Amino acid sequence: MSLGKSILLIRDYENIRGILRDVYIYGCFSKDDFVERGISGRKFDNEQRRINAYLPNKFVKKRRVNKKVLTYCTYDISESQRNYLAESYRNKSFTMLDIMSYFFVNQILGKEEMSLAEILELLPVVSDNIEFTKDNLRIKLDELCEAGFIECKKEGRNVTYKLAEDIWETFSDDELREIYIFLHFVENVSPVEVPFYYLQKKLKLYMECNRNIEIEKTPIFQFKHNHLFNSVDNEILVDLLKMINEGKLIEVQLDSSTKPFNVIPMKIMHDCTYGRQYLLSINEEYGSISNIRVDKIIGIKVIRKLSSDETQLKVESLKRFDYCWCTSVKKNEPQEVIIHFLFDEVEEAYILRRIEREGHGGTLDKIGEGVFEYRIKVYDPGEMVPWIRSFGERAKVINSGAYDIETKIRNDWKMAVRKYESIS
Amino acid sequence: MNLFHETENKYYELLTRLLMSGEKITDAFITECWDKYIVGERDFEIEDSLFIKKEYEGTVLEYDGQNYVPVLDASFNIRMNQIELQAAKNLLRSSYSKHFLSDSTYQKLAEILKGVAEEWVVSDVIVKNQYSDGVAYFEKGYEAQISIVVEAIRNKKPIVYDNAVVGKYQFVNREIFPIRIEYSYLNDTFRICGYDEQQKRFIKLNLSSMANIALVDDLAKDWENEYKVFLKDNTKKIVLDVEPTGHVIERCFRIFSFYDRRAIFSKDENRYRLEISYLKYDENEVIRDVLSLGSSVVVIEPKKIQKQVYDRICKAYDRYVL
Repeated sequence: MSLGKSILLIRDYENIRGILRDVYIYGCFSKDDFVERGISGRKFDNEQRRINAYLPNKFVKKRRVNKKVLTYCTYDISESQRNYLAESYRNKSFTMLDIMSYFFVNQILGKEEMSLAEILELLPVVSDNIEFTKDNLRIKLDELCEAGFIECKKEGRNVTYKLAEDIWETFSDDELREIYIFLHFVENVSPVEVPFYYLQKKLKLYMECNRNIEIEKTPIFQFKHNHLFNSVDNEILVDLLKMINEGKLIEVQLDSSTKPFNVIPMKIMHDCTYGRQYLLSINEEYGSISNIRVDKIIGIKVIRKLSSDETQLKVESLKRFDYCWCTSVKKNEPQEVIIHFLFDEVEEAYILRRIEREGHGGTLDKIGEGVFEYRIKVYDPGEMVPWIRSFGERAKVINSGAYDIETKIRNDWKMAVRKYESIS
Repeated sequence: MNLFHETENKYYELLTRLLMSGEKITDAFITECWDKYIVGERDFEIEDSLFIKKEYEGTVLEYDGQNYVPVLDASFNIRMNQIELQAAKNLLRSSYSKHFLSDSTYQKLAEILKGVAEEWVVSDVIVKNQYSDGVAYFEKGYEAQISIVVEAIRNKKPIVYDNAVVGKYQFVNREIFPIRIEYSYLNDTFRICGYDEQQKRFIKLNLSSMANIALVDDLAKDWENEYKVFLKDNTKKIVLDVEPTGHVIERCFRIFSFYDRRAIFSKDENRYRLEISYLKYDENEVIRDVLSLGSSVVVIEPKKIQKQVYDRICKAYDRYVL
C-alpha cells in the first residue's frame, strides 16, 4: 500500500496557504521570486505540483514570461459559481486505518447500536497490513464521535455506539434542492466559505446517491466583487470564530520570527472593498485595541476563559468601532470630515445614490445647484481617501481637521498628473 | 474537529459513490467516476492504494477476479459531520435565507438542528464597506421570485415579468430566458441575466424592479453557448502600471481580483504591470477603482481610457488649486 507515497495529499493546510494565495491574487511571481522571499526551491516545486493537482486545469494555468514560468489563476464570471479555492481543502492526507474505520464502522452501525467489542467482532480482516485492535478502534470511534458521524452512549460501564441521525430524512426532494441552491450562493459570498462548500458537496452526494435526484451542471449564479482568496484563511478564521464564541483569551502567532502575544478576540471584520479580514481584539499586555490581519496569522492557541471584567471590556471596546470607516480606531475623539460633491443633478443623478449607499450614514445636504455637502465623523479620515478619490473631480474635501487629507489628496492628484504627462 | 479534515477528502466521496452506485465496480466504472467527480490531476499512488487486485490486500473494496465488490455486505449511510452541521445551523442565521428558503423549509431545518450547539456564528463577522440598502436588509424575501428564476434556468425555460422604475420606465408582460442570477457582494444586489428573444439581445435586470414573475411553460431553449460568446465578444482589456509599494500592489491586485487578469513583475525595472479583462458594461466601475488608487496606478492601455482618466485627474487637481 502506498498511500504515504502520495505527495499530492496535504498534511497541514498552512503548507500551501501562502503560496496558493499569492498564485491566486498576483499570479506574477516565478520560482526565483518565491525563493527570494525565503521559500525553498524544493518546497516551491512541491507546492506548485500540488496546486496543479488539486485545482482544475481550466482554473490554474502556466505561462512563460521572460524565460520564467508563472502559475496563475483564471477567472470566468460565467463559471464563477464554482469556488475552486475551497476545493483545495478536500485534499487532506489520511491513513488506511482512517478510511477503513470511517466506512466499516458506518456500515456496521447502519443496522443497530453496538459496543466496541461487537464492532470489533464484525470488522473484516482485509489486509495483512491493517489490523484493528481494541486500542486503535477505540481511538477511531472517539474520532468519529467527535466528528459527529456516530454517537456514543454511556450507561454505567457500558458504552455503546450508534450512527448519527440522518438530518435530511424528512425533507422532500424539492426542499433539499432549495437548500442546495442556497448553499451554492453562501459558499461563494459568505466571509466563511469552506464549511458551506463542504455542506453543499455532502448534500449533493446525498441527493444523488440516496434520492437519485438529478442535479444539473448548468450554473445558476454568477458573482461580482467576491473575494474567493479568503477561503485559504478559513481554517484560522473558523478557529478564531469558535474562540470568540466561547469567550476565550488567545495567543496569536503572526510569523515564526515574531513573539506570540495574547489578545482578547472581539469580532472579525471583513472589508468588502479589498477583501481583507481582520481580527478585532484587545492586546492583553497593553490594553489597547489591536486589529490583526487574519491572513498574517499562522497560529492561535487558547490560553483561558475570559474574566467577567475582560468580557465587559470587550463589549465596551466594540462600541469604538461605530466611528470607523474601516478598522482604524484612534485614542482621540472622532474627527468631522466635510466633503463637497459637485455633479450634474440631471445627467449624473446616480452620484447622489452612490453617496447615499456608500457614505456610511454621513449626512448629505444640498447647498447649491449641483453641490451637496457631506459630513461624517470618523476616527481616521485617512481611511476614506480611496473612496473620496474614486469620485475623481466630483469630490472635494473641505475639512478634515488635523488629518488634513485635503492636502494629501491634492498632492496625490498632482503626482498623478505628472505621471500621466511623463508617459504621453 | 478541525476544518481541514480527512473525512472531507475527495477520495472519501469517490468511495462513497462507488459503494452506493449499485453498479458493477469495474476499472472502467472507477475511471468514469474519477473523471466525473474528482477535481484535479489523477493521483496514481492513491489509486494503487485504494483499488488493489492482490489477495488479502483489499480496502473498503476487494477484487473478486472480475470486479471490485464491497468488503462488507451492508449499505453505507451518508451522514453530516460537525463542520457541516455547524454550516447548516449558520444558514439559519444568514440574512439571505429569506431570499432562498421557503418558510416551511426554514422551520423544518431549524427544528432538525435544534439540538446542535453553535460552535461559531457567522454573525461574529462584521461586514464593512458593503453598500447600504442591499438585499441583506430587505424585510421581504425574494424567495418566491428567485425560486421561479432558478426553475427557469434549470429547465432553460422563459419567464414573464413586469419591470418598472417610477418616473423612468415601465415594461409589462415581457419575456426573457434567464441564464444566471448575478449577485454583487459590494452592491448587495441581485440581477437577472438573460436573453430577450424579442429584442434579440442579452439583458440584465434588477430583481428589485421586477414584478409578477411567472414561469412560461414554453419550449425550452439553451442560450448557454450564445451567452459565453456574448461575454467573450464584449470583453475589453485595460493595462495598468502599478507602483511597486507593498500596500499599493496588494490593494490594487485585491480590488481587481474578481476579474480575469494577467500580471507581470519586472524585477529589473521594479514594476508591476496588470492586464485586466472586463465586460464593457463594467467600464465605469473599472475607472472608478483606478481613480480610487490615485497616483499609485497609471493606465497604459487603451489610450482612450488613459486620456479619460488623465482628464478627470486634471479636473480633480484643479478643484483644489483653482
